[in-house]
Amino acid sequence: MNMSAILTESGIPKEERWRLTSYEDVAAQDPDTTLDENYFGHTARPMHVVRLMHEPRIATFQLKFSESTLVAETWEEYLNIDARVLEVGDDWVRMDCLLDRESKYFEERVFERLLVEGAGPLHEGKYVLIRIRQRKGKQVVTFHDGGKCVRKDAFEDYSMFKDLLDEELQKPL
Amino acid sequence: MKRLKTEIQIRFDTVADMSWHARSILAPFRQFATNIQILHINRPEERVLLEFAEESHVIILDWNMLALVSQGNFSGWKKRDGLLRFFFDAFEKTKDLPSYSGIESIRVLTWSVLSDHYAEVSSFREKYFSEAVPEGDEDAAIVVTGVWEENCTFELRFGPYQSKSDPERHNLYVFPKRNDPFAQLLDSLRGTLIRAEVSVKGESDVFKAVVDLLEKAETLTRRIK
Repeated sequence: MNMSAILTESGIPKEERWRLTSYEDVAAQDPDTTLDENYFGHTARPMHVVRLMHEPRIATFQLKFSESTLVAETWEEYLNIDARVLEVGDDWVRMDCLLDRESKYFEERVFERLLVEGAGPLHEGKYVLIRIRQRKGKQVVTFHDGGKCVRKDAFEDYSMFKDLLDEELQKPL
Repeated sequence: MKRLKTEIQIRFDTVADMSWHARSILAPFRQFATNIQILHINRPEERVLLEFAEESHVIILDWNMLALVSQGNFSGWKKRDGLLRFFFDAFEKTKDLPSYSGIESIRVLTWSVLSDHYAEVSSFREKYFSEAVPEGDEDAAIVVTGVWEENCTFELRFGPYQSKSDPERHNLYVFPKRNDPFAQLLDSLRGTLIRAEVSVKGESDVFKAVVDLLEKAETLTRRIK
């Protein structure tokens, strides 16, 4: 099993990145390595011994949790709202939110730009899926790119304006 | 009353070319899922499973069924844009396939335990069985079937919950995590296991039909007192 946990690169010059490596990894790379020579004189069990190695490549963390340590949060209410970006400000975003798909009821809402940026690069007309999950004492709102999962037909339904296309109105005065 | 598992099945006439479409139908929801599994790849019976760990459910699509299987408590399903949103969106995309020809049936199944209610086989027999029912092995259950209304049938099964055998027998583990709180709950539960199944033949508004069936299943389950 690879037990190495690799330090992230942020703020560390490339040539000074370090990698934590288990004895097994070191021994695999250098078969002559022995515990007594390389590990500060300790004779600990190999799996518990680590040493720092120079690691010039970009590093990532490799950690494996056993499934039993991961406890998923449970929620009581869920709501998914389709939305389309109308305007993007310096620190805010105005969106057209479809609050009721059956009656096609829309409301304009303004959100902090930092939150909505979770849905990716923002521009006018971008579709966003707002997911709200809540339970007693807690509510989580997340913003996602809705390009593939928002139903666009409701936003692009202009049938309510069809009367304005009356021929009389189209004629020049 | 503790809900252990819920299944919603939309059964449709076999879509022979589903293996060409199943992955693209579920692809838009992949970003919200915690895992994806594809069985029988590139065979007509290809089956795609999308796991949503936070919502504790899995969406399954194959050539004659779209299903949602949920583990544990089941709430937030009454709104069209609520818990079941992706499930119904996937069905809308399935309906758009040229080879889709219609719904065969919609079925809802729920498994619940009524805690501390005739947990022993002997007390259950004493409460529900007449003397005419012969003494048998250590298991006991009652099955009630019937017609709710036109095109709608139900089946209700209930009996003492057996923590050693019932989780396997009823496939109560949706997620194979044998050491999590849900597994501990299954080990420690005592009471009557109630399995309610309600199904309806061909429906036009699938959302309303599913909500109606879920309510009927709850009503059936609460009949056991």
